[in-house]
Amino acid sequence: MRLCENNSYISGVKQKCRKIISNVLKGFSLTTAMFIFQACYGVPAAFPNALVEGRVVSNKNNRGIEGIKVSFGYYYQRDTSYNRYSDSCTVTDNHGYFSFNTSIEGRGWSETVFFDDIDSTENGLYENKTVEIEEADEVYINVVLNEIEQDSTSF
Amino acid sequence: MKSNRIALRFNNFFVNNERAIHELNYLFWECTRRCNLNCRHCGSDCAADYKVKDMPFEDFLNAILPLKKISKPDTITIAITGGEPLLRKDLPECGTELRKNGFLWGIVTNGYVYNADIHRRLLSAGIGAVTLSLDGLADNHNWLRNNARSFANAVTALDLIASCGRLNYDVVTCVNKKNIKELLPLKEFLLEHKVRQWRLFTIAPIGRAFGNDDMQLSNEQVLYLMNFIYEARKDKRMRTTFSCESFVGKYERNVRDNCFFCRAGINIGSVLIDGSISACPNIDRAFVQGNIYRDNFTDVWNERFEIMRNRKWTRTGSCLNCKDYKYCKGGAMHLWDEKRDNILTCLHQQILSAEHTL
Ligand code: SF4
Ligand code: SF4
Repeated sequence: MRLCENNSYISGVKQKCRKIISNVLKGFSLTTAMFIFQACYGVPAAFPNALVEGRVVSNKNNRGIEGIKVSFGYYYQRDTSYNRYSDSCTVTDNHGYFSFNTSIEGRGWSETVFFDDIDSTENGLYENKTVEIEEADEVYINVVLNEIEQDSTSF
Repeated sequence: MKSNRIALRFNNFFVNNERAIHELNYLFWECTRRCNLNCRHCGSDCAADYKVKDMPFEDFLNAILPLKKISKPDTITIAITGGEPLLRKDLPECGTELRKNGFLWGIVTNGYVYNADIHRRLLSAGIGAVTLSLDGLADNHNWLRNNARSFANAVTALDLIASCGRLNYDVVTCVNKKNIKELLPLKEFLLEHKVRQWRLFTIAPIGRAFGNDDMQLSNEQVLYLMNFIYEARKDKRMRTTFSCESFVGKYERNVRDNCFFCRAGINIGSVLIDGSISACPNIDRAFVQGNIYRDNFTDVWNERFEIMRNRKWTRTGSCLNCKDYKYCKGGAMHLWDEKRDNILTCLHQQILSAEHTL
């Protein structure tokens, strides 16, 4: 029994040593690409990204708002105007919750989450909003949108 | 050309160490056998509406979740492959769940149905890598892919992928007898489309390509390919590499960043469409090590795969008296079949033969 325990202890230590050697070799490797491998029909090592989650509620009753488009992106300048770029988005569910992944590290520009009411008066009419976020692995945002009073006499 | 003897010795030490550790970093998931193209060289024999059902995502997820106990999930890239993975309508949901559990993921696609909407949905689901196949300029690509619109659609995908800073992506080209003549214009084309990584490989004599003479390169063409990649790598605008598929003698480290190392079963595993547990999906199914519907994936990874981690059995056939065996160790696992009596092809021997006749 004792011998058995000793053997597994020794093989555990050996495995740890090998891992240390492996990390050192990767560090000293002729190129760091030694570790970034891919098989013939495989993809390159995937870039990490961050989970952005949260809830959108109404300023009137604090209830979740369905149908708000939540997108992540930034503004860029072209000639004299500012344009919006966004490459990941989702729409809030019937309780106002949303969740999506996006890259928020190392892009070197201001990171913005856009909240847009895209279903017009369905589920109420709300002002759009933007929220700035910081680099992180996980972001949780609670947002309150202001309801726009609808003028019923205009019809 | 870089001399590589020291690097090869260093690599030997590194490979032996990696074999002993066998840490899983790369996991293929063959999520479907359905495909929207019918490529002449396909390593699998997929077809649209192929009778094999897609694997339910929960089955795959339940099989891999225990991996979180033995390694950090963000050290494992899940390479979702097929068939054509984009034919799965639930792909973004699968990706979202993988990210929620910490795994990184990417897809290998022919780009045929890749459009702006899918691109956005995949990004929102946390995709981190894409490999797109482009096998030549329009005529050759369409010929190989057996479809007149495949090139135009793949280029649409390419522009979306290349313009997005959030993806680690590359373009892969299967070099064959037809497209080898247009590698230079293809390189220019990729540069015009802002591609930063290009990977070339030859077509193995397996799957549909078996016995197809238009597919396999002659000895002289293999030599030409090595020299083409060697020259292309001097152009720093794009990182051009040869794939992992073969030991290539003096071209080692001149056509890729690192020396040949077939990581199948050492760092690379797979869950195939029927639940089989193996390594790269192009490996002969005779080497399957278990099945997620019967076995615990983590146990299989930890305790089996001996045949891929100890390759002494490959010292047979052409490899028996090969003087570079100590560096190559029997070549690519996907080039062995169940008989295990000879490697199906060897690019290094082809290069030596071509040089000999010069
Ligand atoms: S089996 Fe083939 S594709 Fe897989 S790692 Fe080995 S050489 Fe590369
Ligand atoms: S003959 Fe075998 S050991 Fe020699 S280079 Fe070819 S595959 Fe490798």
